[in-house]
Amino acid sequence: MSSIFLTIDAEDKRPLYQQIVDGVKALIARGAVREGTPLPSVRQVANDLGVNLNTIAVAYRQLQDEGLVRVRHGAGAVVLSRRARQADEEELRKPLRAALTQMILGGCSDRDIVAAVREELETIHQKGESR
Amino acid sequence: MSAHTTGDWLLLYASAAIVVANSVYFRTLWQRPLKNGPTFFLGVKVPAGFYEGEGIGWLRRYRTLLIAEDLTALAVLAGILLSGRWVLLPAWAGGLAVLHVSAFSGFLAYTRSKLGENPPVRAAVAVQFEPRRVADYISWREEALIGVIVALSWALLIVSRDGAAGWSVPIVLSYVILGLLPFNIAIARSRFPLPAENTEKHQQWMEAGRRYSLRVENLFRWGCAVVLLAYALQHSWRFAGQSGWFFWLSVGTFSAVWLYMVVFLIQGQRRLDTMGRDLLPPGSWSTPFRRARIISPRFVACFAVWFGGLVLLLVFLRK
Repeated sequence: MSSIFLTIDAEDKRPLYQQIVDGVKALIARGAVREGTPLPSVRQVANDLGVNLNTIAVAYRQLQDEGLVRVRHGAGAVVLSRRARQADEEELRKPLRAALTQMILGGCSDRDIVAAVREELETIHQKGESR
Repeated sequence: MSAHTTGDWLLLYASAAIVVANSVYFRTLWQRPLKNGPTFFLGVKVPAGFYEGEGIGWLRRYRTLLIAEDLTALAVLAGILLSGRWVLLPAWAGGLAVLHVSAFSGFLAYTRSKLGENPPVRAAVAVQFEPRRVADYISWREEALIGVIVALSWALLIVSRDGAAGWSVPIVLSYVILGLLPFNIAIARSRFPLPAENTEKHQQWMEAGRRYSLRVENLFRWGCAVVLLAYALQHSWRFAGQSGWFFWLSVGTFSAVWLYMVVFLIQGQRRLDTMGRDLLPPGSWSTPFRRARIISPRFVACFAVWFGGLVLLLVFLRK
């Protein structure tokens, strides 16, 4: 059975905690971690990465605020749901719109953008199925 | 030599087994600096062509140290045997471990300070994102059984109050057996960030290395537990002390555990070396969040405490 990994990149422009939030969300979205699955404790992740405890705690708190995980004091965290609390479609579309704008400004054609979105969706579903 | 009890002969046999295991493992130790390929020396990244220049001297120094350690250990062993104070044999075995680990750690620290001052930094790192527990690596049932054997041995020795039984033997053996548990917990907990490339392979390699170290440690502890129990029985139970078959039963049990340990030690190391080919050893690279470490600080702390205790014990028991 293959393991589940979380990758962070110091050259990524997003702050560290945000990379962790996004990484965990990706794992949940593709079904690598399912509802009820326990997550490693804040201390374990912080020790393994060699980063401050607060960085991981902030990331877990944000995931909890979004209704994706439940943090249990002294007992790690557990995946609560595959759906984020933020269900308003308009809110969900905002980051997508920002990304699409970025791609248009970057010179991508509509056809390229649609292909890229489809490819990314397929990657997410394939990774989920391969587990 | 007739003054020696069967318990003493068992200690002598165990010491001989240590010498044999050490000799068998010597070849692996001899090649250890090269095990990660020609661009590494003891897990430290070195430039291509290192072994055609500067590396020759480094290899020579490492191997001279190995030979010096073993010759020292053999000289001390010969001294103990000639003096007839065989109760010092467990202390010798402990001293051998102290000598090996101190010399190797010292040389490793020296190597890293001279050759590995600025390890390459990799921006992207991965960690295994699954909860883990110490119980995934350490069997508490096995630990309880080891604890029962140690307690039983002490109970036998205390109740029998056999004057011929030296206390140094059970003290050193018990310390080695029980004192290695915190060390094993530190091994089970120690983790390093993984490179973002070949993450799965690096993870499997490190996991295999962790389980290998724990298995070897435990087999070593079982070997010591067998000697401790046999020693206690021979000094507390007259029948066991006088019967030849009990001696040979003890020798046979110890030999079986020891042989298994040596085979596992050699084969496991080969398997790990094969798995780790073309992978990055921990300590050969840094992350932006953490400097390169070849061993975790918790592991070093546990080992230092255990070793410090062993050294104090050896000094105290010599008086």
